[in-house]
Amino acid sequence: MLSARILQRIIATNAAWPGGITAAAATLLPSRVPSSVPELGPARPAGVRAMSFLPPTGPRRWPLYNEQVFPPTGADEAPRPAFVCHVKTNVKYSTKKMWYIASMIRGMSIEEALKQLQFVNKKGAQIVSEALKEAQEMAVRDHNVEFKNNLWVAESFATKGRVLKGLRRHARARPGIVHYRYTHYFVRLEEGAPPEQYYADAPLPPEEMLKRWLEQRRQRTITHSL
Amino acid sequence: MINGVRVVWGNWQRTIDRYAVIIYQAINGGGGPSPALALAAAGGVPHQRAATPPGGAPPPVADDGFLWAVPKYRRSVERRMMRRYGAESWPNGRKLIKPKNNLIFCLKCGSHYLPGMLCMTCYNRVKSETEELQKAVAQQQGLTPPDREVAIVYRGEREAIDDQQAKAVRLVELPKERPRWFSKNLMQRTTTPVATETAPVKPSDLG
Repeated sequence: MLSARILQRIIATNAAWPGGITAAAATLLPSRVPSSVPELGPARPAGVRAMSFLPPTGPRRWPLYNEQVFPPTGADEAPRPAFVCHVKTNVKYSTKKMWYIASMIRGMSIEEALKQLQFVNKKGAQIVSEALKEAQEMAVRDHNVEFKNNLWVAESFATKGRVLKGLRRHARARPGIVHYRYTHYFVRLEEGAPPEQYYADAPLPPEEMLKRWLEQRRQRTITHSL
Repeated sequence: MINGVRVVWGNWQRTIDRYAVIIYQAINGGGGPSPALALAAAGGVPHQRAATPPGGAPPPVADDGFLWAVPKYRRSVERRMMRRYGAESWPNGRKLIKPKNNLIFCLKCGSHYLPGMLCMTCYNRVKSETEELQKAVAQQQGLTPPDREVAIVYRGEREAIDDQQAKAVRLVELPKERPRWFSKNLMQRTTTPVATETAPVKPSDLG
């Protein structure tokens, strides 16, 4: 079932249409739930804890961000770029290893990301490539993206999935626990060109640094002076 | 400083030993070696003790090492994360996966490849075609020993070979069309005519 918070958010975006949704505008709304919302797995009943022998559930809220319908932006507002959220659940890979690949492609254009992932010699690179291609297809088919290469990776992260535990034998009959790790990989593609710097605290180029230093020096005043 | 603490503890232990002998003998009515001897063996009462302990430094007791190698300070979360996951600055981005900036664009198929290596798409295309040819040749050859050269002809090329030539080679016909990238002319070294008359040419414009 939809989480109350996500449902409220969807209702709020839909209700923010000025003057309500007219009949004419309603014809433009999608008449069906876009097929980009994947078949959500069985929800765990309330009060039942996750157990390794129960079928694995997965993240349910990420694809719901695709269901938001925003009101049209005003003439003075910046155009709202299209985006698509996609998740690959219960992938047989470790989250710690997936982190390196997910963090490499953050802020890259999708073309660059797919190109670089071809040359990353890890299993996660294949998984992420597939996820990106699926998301790209979804964006063009369901989310009004005109050019499939005009996308960039706005968010890319991985979380821990179900971990199954098994036993193994060490030397001298000592037991060991084997962890079979699964991970969920999340990606959000946004339409447009990627930003110059993805992280806010990225190092500035030398000219910019010099300019800032000079500005700071010039702003100095003598305290308690006129 | 740790050695100083060890010495203090050792001295305390030895003090206990010294007076324990006296107390034991007092309780048991003076049995065993005389306290003076016992005390001498243990190091004597404080005013009898020599400045330096006899026989060099005493061996450490098992309890002496209660300050063995342990962490002195808590590792901050920044250091922990740097060690586990790495950063651009530490250790030189080695743990992170860096994007490659030396990829070359293949002019024949349009995909990228690493310098010093073959373009993988082109290579795989050639490889799959080669495997197909090999399969066709092996199928035709069967268990007969190879006694002739193998000539592979694609669709529409059989007419170009006359029968005498065809008998000298083992002809393998493939029903498919020749791929555009597979040249018929693999043995010719160059297409430009070889120069017959050569003359030495002096370079000009050399000051």
